Amino acid sequence: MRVKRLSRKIAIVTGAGRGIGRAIAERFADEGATVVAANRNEQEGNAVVTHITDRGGEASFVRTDIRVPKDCERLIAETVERYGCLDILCNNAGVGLLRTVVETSLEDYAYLMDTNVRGAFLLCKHAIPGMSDRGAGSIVNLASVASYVGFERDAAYCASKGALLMLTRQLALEYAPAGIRVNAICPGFVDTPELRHYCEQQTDPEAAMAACNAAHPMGRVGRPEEIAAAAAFLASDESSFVTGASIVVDGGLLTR
Amino acid sequence: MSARLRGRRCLVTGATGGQGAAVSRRFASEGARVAVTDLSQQDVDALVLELQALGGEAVGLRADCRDEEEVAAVVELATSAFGGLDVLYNNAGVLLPDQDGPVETLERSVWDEVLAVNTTSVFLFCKHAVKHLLASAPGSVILNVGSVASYAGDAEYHAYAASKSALIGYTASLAQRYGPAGLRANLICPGFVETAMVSQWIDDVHASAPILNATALRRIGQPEEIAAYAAFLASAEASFVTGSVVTVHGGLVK
Repeated sequence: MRVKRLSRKIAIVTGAGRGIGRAIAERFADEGATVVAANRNEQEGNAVVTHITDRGGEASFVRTDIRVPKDCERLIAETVERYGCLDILCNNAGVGLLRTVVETSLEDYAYLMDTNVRGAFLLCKHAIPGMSDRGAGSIVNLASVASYVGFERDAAYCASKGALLMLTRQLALEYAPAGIRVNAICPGFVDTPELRHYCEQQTDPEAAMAACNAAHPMGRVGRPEEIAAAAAFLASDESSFVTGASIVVDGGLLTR
Repeated sequence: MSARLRGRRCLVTGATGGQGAAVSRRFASEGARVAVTDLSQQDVDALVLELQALGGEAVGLRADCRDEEEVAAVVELATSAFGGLDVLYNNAGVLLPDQDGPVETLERSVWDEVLAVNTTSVFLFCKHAVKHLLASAPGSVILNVGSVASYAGDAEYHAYAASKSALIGYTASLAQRYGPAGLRANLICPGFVETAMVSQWIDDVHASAPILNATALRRIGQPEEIAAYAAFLASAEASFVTGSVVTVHGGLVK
């Protein structure tokens, strides 16, 4: 019999509409959590909620653009209003931008940083007081292998993921005494709509995907479900002594 | 308990100590078939009975992990009992608090001893087990046990830190070499965990205060909390996790 590791937990997943976020939302629901799917695109957000509830899970949608500070505040408030509390915050929403530092406009930089760093920062800011009052909480941040190593033409993205990993460590230190654990997942390349879109834009899409696969010693990119499995572990009480940590889920990419 | 390891054939070294026993129990309770080894036949036999009582299939053999022939015999026992091997969990290790130290006091013989147990034994078990693990790839796993000292060093125990640090490079090398075949390799780095040795320190307020102050959660870990991570990494749940150094330290800042 399958054990449900997140029974009776209330979990927010940002960027839940597709790719890794969708896999995490679905996995959390499978593990018994009530999932608040936060997403900028309403149609995608509602689709994942329908998919979860059709399978007998609990989920609802809150339209959220995490670049908008009021949206971040409202997401936490609405979750607590609907379900009474918040146990798990999964900061998954993020964007990429393939540009050198010289090519990056101030607007592009702000767009990326406001999404990847400030959004997570603000959600933590609003989620932590309630978690702290209850003496429990698990925050899971989706960082990247780009938190550890640089990638070409990826200046702002690498900077943002480095920042998110360090925010993870700082929050873990600060709020461990309050019973809140904070950890990061650092995926390698994962088979998401974004990765496929990137490959399709290259002159030779098949060669581009082959290069992505070859970057990993395991010879393939990851699957969203493999990231979701790590998220479920870190969100659950199974990881009760894990905080301020990151788990690299990259098929060995960083060993090279 | 879920059964993510149903039918998985596992070998756990250093299995009768606090963490090794917790990992062996957790593997068995998730449906694994577990072979265990440690220095004392009596302790090994007791653990085997306990694992069998959990409903699992278990075998055990005493071995000194520094001795290649004895290591080979353990691998032979496990693979012949279960018909192969899916998970090698290299837990055997030693810290010699009265003898380990900085160069002013550290004897060459102590350095050699610590490296033999903590580093060379991992190589020996891998050497004899890898062909079996490759035969059951993709999906087979080597899990090595490091320490926070693997990446942060240790002001007191230099041989220990060096021996555990070596496992970072060795584990990454295994991951690179065997990743294409589908054999994963990861390093688990615990912080302070409640075992016989750490309990001694914890009972002593002068020794425990720095440990607890450096650990964000303000407590030492339980062996079961290491075992939970081990079960995740040993299972198909972690199918894209290889070459990773995972920390289970309650926010230990060093």
